[in-house]
Amino acid sequence: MLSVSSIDVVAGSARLLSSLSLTLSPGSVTAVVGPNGAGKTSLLKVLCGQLRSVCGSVQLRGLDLSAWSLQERARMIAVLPQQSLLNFSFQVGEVVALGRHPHSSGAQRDAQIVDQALAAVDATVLKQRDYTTLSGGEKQRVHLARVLAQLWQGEAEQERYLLLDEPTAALDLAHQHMILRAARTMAADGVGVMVILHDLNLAAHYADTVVMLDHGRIVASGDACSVLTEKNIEQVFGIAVTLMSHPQTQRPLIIYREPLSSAASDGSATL
Amino acid sequence: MTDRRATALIVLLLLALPCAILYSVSSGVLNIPLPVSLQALGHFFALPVAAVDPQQQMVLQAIRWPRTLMAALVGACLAMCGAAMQGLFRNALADPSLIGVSSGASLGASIAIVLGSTVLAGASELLGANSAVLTTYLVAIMAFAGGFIATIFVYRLGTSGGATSVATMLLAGIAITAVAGAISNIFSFIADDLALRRISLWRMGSLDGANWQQLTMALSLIGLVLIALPRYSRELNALLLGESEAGHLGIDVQRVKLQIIAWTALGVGVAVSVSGVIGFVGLIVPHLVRLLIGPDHRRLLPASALMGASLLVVSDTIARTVMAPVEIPIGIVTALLGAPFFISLLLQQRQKLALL
Repeated sequence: MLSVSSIDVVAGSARLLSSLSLTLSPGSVTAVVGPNGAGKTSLLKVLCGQLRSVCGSVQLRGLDLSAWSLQERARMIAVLPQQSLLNFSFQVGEVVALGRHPHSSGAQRDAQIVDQALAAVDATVLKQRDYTTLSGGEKQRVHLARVLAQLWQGEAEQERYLLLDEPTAALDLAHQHMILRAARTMAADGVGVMVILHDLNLAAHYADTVVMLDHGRIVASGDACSVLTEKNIEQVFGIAVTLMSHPQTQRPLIIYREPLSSAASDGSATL
Repeated sequence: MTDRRATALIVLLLLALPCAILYSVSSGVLNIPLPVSLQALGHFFALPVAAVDPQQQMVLQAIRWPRTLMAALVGACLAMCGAAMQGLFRNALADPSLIGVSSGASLGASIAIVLGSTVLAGASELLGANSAVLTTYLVAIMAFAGGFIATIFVYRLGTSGGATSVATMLLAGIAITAVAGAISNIFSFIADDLALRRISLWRMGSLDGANWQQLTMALSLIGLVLIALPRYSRELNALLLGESEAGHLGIDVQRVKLQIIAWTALGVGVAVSVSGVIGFVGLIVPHLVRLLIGPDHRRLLPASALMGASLLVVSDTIARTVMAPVEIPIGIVTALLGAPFFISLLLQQRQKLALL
């Protein structure tokens, strides 16, 4: 289990997260949704140890996160950022191989894992390419392969967690679904996945648990049907919606309602 | 494919460096045949080889061999430190001087030269020592100290709350360079003509006056740097992804950053203190090597060191011979050799990028 309990995160005078508790369990996909500034990224940073909470605790497999060494942590928790800063002309294979940094599984095994990770994101053909010449979607696939390589099932069975920070923000429709399907595959393989999403329909479609944040607090958490309700969405995002049921999955499908008047956007037009 | 290219380049450079060194010791005002140069080195280390002509032995032993080896050492150090800085700053245009070490060293050297020409001249009469020798040592020590102090300032300015921002360090480096430059200029301004000339020559770099004693000292310190920096290759590779990504890969980013900066400050500080400011090697060599074999530091760092060593040996030979018997400062040669080469590479690269 990777969990936070009653954490508070403060930056200057601003309170980013307040008494927030959340548990990620192996094998499930948790989507975190909420408006900009709700504290989604702060939560992710606390979970991977990049940001410290002033009180409360972060626990990984029953121990405080800081009790694990950085290397042990990196073998269990991988993070896929929204965009990478990498601008040096590594070959794609070399970028993926960076994911093996926390492991000492040997060059031969690492090379196999790199090939398998590239195959898993359908990027085998890119292996010899210069990373800097790839398109945005291709780059994101390469980084997904890198975090897959980082979490690749080793000899010792251990818990693994994948945290994705708006991984679909810069991607086209096909790539958005490709990334989230890969996350689901990881979850099926026993990885605990947390993904920050802006698209509520994607969250409804792919997540086992949806957590809705606002002003650093959890507004609702549970399965998609119980969290993504007309009332919650209107309260948190200030957008009037109608919910339908997805014809195949029966999960909620969010439809944006035509504003009844110009005042609709500030939420006062709810009749 | 990159692997094979990297191996080929490193083998080529391993062959080129001894050739450059032998060529360098054999050429000069007094032309000495290659075998004699080797024989003289053997003789110096008391190997069982026949003695050579005493005059040639003297020139080779006292001047050329230590000087050429010093050029190789300084070149290797500047290039490897440059490669490490470019990795750390995630910027192919970074240079070892970015962390303030060169400008701090310049300030230290200026102070030493100006003080040396006045204060030391008096003191040396009392001590009965040669003031020129004393000044040389004082310049080296002050340059090293100045470089180190400036680096500490830059590092402290870039660090807050236990985290160092490389972007802030970059800006702090610019500010410290400006301040150190201004104070150096004050010393230039109050210096007499002789001291002024020494200051300006020092800032262009030179390897004259290299001797075995200095070489041993430099080798022991730079040797450490050349061994230490490649140990951070994998961390530097991960840092190219960004600092938080490197952290997610299990790297203690703050510790690695501090250590790489400290090793670089030591390496460049020693290099500058024995040879003055030699620009361009630390910028151009790693950049060139990266274009040839890619950014993987496991290959980039050693290949840069080898190429930097060869480049500086060749540059020093040119500096000694092109206007013989007058020597021109080596910084002029490295810039004049390096810049056109660099520009032609950039143009090639631009064409390649335009095609993609």
